[in-house]
Amino acid sequence: MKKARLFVYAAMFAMAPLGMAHAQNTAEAPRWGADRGRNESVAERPRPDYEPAGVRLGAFMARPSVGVEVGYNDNLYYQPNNQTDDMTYTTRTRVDFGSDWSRHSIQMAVGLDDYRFRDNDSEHHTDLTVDGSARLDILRSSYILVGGRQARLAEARGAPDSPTAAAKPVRYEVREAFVAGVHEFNRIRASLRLDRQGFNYKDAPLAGGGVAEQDDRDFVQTILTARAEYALSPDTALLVQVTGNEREYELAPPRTAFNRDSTGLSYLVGVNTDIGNLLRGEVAVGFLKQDYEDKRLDSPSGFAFDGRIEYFPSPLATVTLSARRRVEETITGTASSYVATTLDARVDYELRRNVILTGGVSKGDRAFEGLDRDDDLWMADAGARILLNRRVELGAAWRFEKLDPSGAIPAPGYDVNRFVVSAALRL
Amino acid sequence: MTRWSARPSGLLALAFTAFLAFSGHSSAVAQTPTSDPRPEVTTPAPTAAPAQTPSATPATPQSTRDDGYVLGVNDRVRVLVFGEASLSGEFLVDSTGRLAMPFIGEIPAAGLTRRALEEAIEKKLAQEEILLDPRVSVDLLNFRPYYILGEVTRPGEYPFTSGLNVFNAVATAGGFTTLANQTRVMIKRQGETTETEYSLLSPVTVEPGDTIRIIKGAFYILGEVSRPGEYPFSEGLTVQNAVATAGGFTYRANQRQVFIKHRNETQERKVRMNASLPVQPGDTIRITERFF
Repeated sequence: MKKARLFVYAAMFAMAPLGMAHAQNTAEAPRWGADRGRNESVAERPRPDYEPAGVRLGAFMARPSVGVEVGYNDNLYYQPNNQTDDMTYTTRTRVDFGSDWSRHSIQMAVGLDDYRFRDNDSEHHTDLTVDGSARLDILRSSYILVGGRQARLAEARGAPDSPTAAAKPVRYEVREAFVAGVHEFNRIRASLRLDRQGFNYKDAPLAGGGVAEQDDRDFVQTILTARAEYALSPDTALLVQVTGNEREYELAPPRTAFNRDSTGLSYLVGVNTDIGNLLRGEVAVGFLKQDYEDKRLDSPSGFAFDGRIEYFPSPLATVTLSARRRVEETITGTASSYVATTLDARVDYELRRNVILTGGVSKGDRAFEGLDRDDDLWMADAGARILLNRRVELGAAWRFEKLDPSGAIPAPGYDVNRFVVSAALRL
Repeated sequence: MTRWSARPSGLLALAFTAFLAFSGHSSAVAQTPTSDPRPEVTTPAPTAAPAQTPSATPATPQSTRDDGYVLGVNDRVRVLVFGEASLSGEFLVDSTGRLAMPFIGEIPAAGLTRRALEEAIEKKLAQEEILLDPRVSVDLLNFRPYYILGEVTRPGEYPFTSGLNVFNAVATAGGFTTLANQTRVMIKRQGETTETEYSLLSPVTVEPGDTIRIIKGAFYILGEVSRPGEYPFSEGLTVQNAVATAGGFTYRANQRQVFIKHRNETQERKVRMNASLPVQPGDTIRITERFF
């Protein structure tokens, strides 16, 4: 394993709404660039009458919740033919802790999700996630944020690198840590964020016997994001964001066929705005590249974009359009990576104060670098949340996924429908 | 105790005659009805008609020798028995409506006019053979108080003064509270068992012993407004004003229609919102959620 190299994407203003907004860390993150506190989307609107009261523990509040889900999956193994359907039973237990201070804050959460299947015991698994963050307020608009997450998860059967012959879902661990700083002065808001993420995939037993080695997928990623926004007006700001990354794989030749270590860089220039009560959003375009040390692997480069626009046709509806292009890792064949492009449209509708309807469609594209394979991924979903009171929440959802492969070495396509009804008890 | 003779002596008769001749006291003689020497008791002004029957003619006490004022509990009177100082004095109509007088005991007074009370005392004195030909005069010294409660600053019991109307009474009681209905008042007259509602668009006369209740003039607003609650009513208030007073609509408010329940109604009614939709005191306004 190579020693970590120091990134010197320094001397840049910094930070991360674009790109890093999608980082896996669920702890408190800096406010979205376009959010100037003028608008509330349906999803983020506080509903004091239906929010759990929590349990006070000194200067902290604990908010535990337990949920059960009963679902149906018509294609459990994401197969093009001979699909296997099954009923799913999921128990979700989560406890959130948060400080109740006027300055600084500490947030922490522990989640345990247990998945059970009626007929396919091999798919049983339990996910555990622990995450937390702490914010140190320095000045009124300057602060430092540190946080981390550790999770033990199961990979979805339809994931690009998931072995189709695996008898069980591939288990993997994620470790993340980050530190970020934000400072505002005059018309400038500058931020700098450093992330380090490690992925450790566990070997998966194969259905016909044997084990599918997954260690060659393990890697550590370090990301440094610098960002600066210049406010043209109270409504609108120009932004520039530079992100550099270094990806180091646990294994290298001769244990693996390729040295998949790489460094990447992306430049984005854009604008964010919050216009009245009609629209807010952030759009940026630029360039991205990922250079692999092994010259046999293709190094992708090209157009980059990242953006999200929220349109508020009325206070009861939020229409969100988002788009993103980025480089993702894969170990499939001779592919170095794939460029993932995602376009997403979503509507959240507040039918009643305690009844929220959601629906969305998404189109994704995975263009594999160094492999003649292209995946078109379509997704659609619809659901409803019903907040009965502060303690009880009901839900129902449907989700459809369709993989439409193309190329000389296509992946097996699939259609999956999942239905879930849920109930959660919150304190 | 001295037992009075059934027939007054000649000396007593002479003294009584001289008293009548020389006395300048206005309450001297009952035998000269055309020049009643008794003091004029201030007569309450005509009472405004109840709000429910604005055209009805109010009962007006007559300002004659017998002015029609009906005595009641807590009235203070002075009884003069001519020539008999020991039978005269100041007396309070007690809670049973009686006067406690020397020698003749309790005399029912509540419900009687002064003239009727004079006759009752004279009759009693004669029956008891205390005086042969008693002459009695009754003066009203103090009216019984009135009572005021409800939406005034200092509710309580206050002494009646002549010419008093509801506005004077409210002023005496510290004025209206912010939630007071300043257009209507409930009054229970003495001797009545139920309240009567009067309009305050013109002054309403207060009578001794009245119980004045200033009702709330608030309106109530609930549902999809920022600050639901009870708010003071003011003349000319519209539903739009009321919503503004309550902090405006919430983002979920149905701004096209409103449900209103008037004070004396049991059912609310759906009304299409418009700029001049009036609010009445006691109205309950409900703003509903919208779906789209």
